[in-house]
Amino acid sequence: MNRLVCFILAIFLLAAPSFSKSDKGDNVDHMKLYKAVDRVMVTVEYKAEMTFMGRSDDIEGRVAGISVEPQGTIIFDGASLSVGSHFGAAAFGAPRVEKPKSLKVTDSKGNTYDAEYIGVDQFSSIAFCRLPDSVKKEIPAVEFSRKELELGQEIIVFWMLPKGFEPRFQMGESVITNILSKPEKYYLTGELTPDFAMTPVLTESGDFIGIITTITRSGGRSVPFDAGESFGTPVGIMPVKRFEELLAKPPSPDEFKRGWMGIALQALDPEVAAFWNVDVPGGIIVSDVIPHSPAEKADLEPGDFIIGLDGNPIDISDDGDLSVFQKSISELGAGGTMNLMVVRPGEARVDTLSVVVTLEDMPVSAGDAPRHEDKNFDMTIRDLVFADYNARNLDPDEIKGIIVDKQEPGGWASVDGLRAGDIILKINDRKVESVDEGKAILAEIEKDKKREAVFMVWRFNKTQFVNVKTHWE
Amino acid sequence: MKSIVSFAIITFMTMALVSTSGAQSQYQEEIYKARDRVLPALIHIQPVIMDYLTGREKKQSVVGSGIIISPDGYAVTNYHVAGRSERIICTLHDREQVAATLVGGDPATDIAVIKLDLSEYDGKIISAVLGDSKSLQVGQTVLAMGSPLALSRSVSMGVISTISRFFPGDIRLPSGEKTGRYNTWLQTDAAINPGNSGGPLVNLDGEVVGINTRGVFFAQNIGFSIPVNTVKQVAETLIEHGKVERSWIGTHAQPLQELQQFFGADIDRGVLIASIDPGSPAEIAGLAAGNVILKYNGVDVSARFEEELPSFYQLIAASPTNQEIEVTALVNGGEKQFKIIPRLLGDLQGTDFDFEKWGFTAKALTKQMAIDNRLQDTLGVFVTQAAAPGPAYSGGLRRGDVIKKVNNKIMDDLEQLKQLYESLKSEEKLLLTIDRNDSIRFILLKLEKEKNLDE
Repeated sequence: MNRLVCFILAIFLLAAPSFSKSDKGDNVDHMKLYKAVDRVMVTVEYKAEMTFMGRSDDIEGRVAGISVEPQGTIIFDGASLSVGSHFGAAAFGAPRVEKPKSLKVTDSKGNTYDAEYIGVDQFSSIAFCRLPDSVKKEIPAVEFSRKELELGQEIIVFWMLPKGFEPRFQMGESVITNILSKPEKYYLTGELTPDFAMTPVLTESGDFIGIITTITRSGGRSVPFDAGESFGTPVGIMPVKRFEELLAKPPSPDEFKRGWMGIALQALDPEVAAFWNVDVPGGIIVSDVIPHSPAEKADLEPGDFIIGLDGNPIDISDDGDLSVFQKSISELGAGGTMNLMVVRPGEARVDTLSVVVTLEDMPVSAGDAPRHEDKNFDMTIRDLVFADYNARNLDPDEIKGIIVDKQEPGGWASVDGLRAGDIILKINDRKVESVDEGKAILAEIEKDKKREAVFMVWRFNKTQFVNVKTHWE
Repeated sequence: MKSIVSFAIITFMTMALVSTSGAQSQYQEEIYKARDRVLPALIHIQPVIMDYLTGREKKQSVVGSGIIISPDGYAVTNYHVAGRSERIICTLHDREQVAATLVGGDPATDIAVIKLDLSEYDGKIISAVLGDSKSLQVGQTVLAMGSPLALSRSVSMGVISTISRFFPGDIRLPSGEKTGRYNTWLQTDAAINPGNSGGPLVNLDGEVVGINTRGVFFAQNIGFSIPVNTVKQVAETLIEHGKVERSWIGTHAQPLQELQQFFGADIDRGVLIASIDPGSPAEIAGLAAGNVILKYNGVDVSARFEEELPSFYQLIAASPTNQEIEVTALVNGGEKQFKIIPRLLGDLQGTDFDFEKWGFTAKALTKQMAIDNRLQDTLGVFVTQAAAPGPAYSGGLRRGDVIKKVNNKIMDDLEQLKQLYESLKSEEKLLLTIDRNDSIRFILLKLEKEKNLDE
């Protein structure tokens, strides 16, 4: 008899959760929700090349993607592809992923198409690609809803299953566990893993209200999930409103020029401002002004406090929130103007100025810089970019040259002591200031069948000469 | 017949053995003799040094070796053993302990001289004989003596593997100074381990031929000694002046070997200038990278191989300061005269100070530090490290920052900052203006209010 009671109890206990679930969600048509999501979801398989400390390796991966308007546009998780695309990290030595060599998009019916890469947004790590016109109608675009969510609201989330599983996605129920206001508006929900990246989030009534991405802080650096640095990077739901701004300005250099001001910045702690009796909720300290930049042209000076933007105060008081300001510069685009309220703390007095900065193009990154692979010397040279100067604290007016971007281990350049990261100032006593000039000199060396060349390089803040031998078979 | 053959073979072998053992015992006797001449002069050194690298002033006890070079108790060791010591305890050959004081140190050659306090010592001080490192040969038997891993009075043996090893590039001491530019190294396979530092390398005549200084981690029996001829020179200067002053023109040379034809130089003449420090006497005089110096202050110079670079640097170091000297160099294939006014090299690193309440250590900026760190000038105070956790660390201060102002008051040097530190003790908030990679940053230090227990 006792045994029977136990048995009944056990059954009852096991059944309890499912009772309570169906109580709440009995009006949710899960199959309909799944189908709505599945038809707009794709998987994207990419192949790219990753360069790190002068060596390149192939990388590949499979990530989730969503078909969005305009039709034929696919957005996907670009965390791995955005490595080094950020202007701060793109100098030599930092890991950098080149533009993908191939992108294959697979839809819900199992059809696979080649897609054209557009770019990756450095703040959200959302990557964009485009399907060929011939197939763009095959995958319908998702229709988003701008509904606001509340704390505790029930939502449906999806995540990608490993390759070979059919169907490709799994769904689950969750609730909004918090709503972030800083660094920007994000919904949080339970424990999310990388498998959730770039999947849509639905309400129980079937509205697409956001997508799951990492929430980037600290200057907008975004690194892949598996990189140690990003450990603990929170993952959340990017609201549709924010997401639509992104879609309006995809990160394609051809279609939209990212804005650049040319300052190094530090958040203005109100307590720092108080040392000059300046009472503000926050602001931006101009730490450095890059020569010839829009900031220099607008007469900004190192040490200036930017306390207002277009008539509104800036309430950034923590370096982690600087990305908000950087993003607004980036997204305003080249040619855009920013009306800055600037406080200039001087020895004797504090001046308040109104400064108008006209933004220019974001400097070209290492990955996009012109390059040349030289087979005779087994190395790749490229133009020096802003980030190289910045990372090494060099003055572009003082150091002109090209950089050894990659080197074949055991190749001629490598054996004779030229190193990846060396800045080549002269080849055979001729100045070289661009890859084109370098290419021309190296071509002459090849033509004349010279057996060696002398490179004057800048290494560890000193110059030195390197004699590189090559052979002509 | 068979047994006769066997016997003959055995005899031969035995004879051979006898003759070998005769040579061996003689060799062994030589080793004993060399040992007995030097071991009594060997000392085990336990200095307490000050460490500032963690952002706090910390006492650290280290162990090294040394060798007594005079009957009145001067001893030589490495700079990285005793050069920054607060106090030194030495254990002599008879296991008696005496205190010692630092006479002077030279980080550029990693040599320090200490003086034993013999006032309470009753034993006999025996000093070692310093030999001539120029007479050494590759393959020559040498003994290394010292305290490997603090195991005092240890002797190991090997041969001279190379007589003039040079390390291109910057080697730095744990305290940050560049070293090794003014000397080549003796390489030996006599076992040298941590703790051997400062101990003697000895030939079979019982003469010190080098001071054991560096080993190579993960390597087998690759150790490096400073040649005794360098040691003698530096030790004499240290005993006389307490420090070694060198002249500086700001040139960095590289071997001409593969570049000689390119620069149109003769095969055995000239030193190629690879790089010139900004603002240095050489730059002011108009010398440039790619010039080949042929004559320096009346002396012909050459460095075809890298082992020849130290003598060029020594020549510069020894030249008179603040007066014009003549330099002849090859410039674009033609000889050209330059007039250079060498200046004093100065200290490689500045003095340290612990700003304990503010939570960081800093050091005075020297000219060489400014060049190393690509700073415009020597104005300001160089942050060694911010201690974590601590107010400076929380405020964002980091190693290598240069403090330019405190509460908007310009701080030109460490002394000024120390004075301010003493006078500002009750302040709760401080604003540091720093230079980090040519950018301005503001660092807010939120200090804890000093608690008054009487209240």
